[in-house]
Amino acid sequence: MKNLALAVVIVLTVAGLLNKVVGKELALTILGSVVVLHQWLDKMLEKREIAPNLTALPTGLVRFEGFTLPWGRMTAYATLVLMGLFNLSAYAATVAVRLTTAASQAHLVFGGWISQLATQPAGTVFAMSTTLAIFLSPYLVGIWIGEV
Amino acid sequence: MTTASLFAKAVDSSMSFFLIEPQTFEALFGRLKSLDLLIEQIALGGLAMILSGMLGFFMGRRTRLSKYLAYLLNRLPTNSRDVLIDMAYEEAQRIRLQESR
Repeated sequence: MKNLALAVVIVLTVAGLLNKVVGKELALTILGSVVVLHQWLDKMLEKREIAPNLTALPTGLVRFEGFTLPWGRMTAYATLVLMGLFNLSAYAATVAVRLTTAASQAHLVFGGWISQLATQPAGTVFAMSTTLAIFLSPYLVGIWIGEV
Repeated sequence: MTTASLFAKAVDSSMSFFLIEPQTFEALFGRLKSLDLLIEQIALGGLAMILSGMLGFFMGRRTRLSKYLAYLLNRLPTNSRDVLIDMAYEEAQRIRLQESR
């Protein structure tokens, strides 16, 4: 847990520095990288024989019953990955709002669903873009938790 | 999954609530900034996340065995891997033939 706390502090510090350059949403996207950084810290500081990977599979050779991660660690990983994905979707939503606003101001002509989207108010575009993340991100994280 | 979903949603909504300026907040969410809205966002968003997360969790549980098998096979040399695959195929074939009789 000590290394996990250290990984969170490092990632938050980097996010704080990136915030000034790329903005809050994109900076907080890196929260998900805690999963790999924590394993890497375990490897370097505890001298454990592990190969850090995104799925955080158990280290060494374990039986089927042991093919899982500790509850606390999994909760921390899932929370941080979800927050990273939310911020990524918020960034994408902000870009979508800016693009549709610019398109409607420039009176650009689109066809099909893009024309519908371009005429919507900013709030609708933002809500549409983030709703997808609210359903898709936990679904993907749920699959990951279910598998290990 | 439930804890992570609720915690992530609570932090995310609180950050939006406290960091976004009132005018921008109103434009994005279509309502005035209020504590009721924050609680509503956390409750409804958390519920949606828990439901989709649980669905993902059950999908993941279904593929857990194959994931574990892949994890084991990745630690074996190629020829051992091939032998195990052949054995599994022969066993499946034997059972299929038994069932068809």
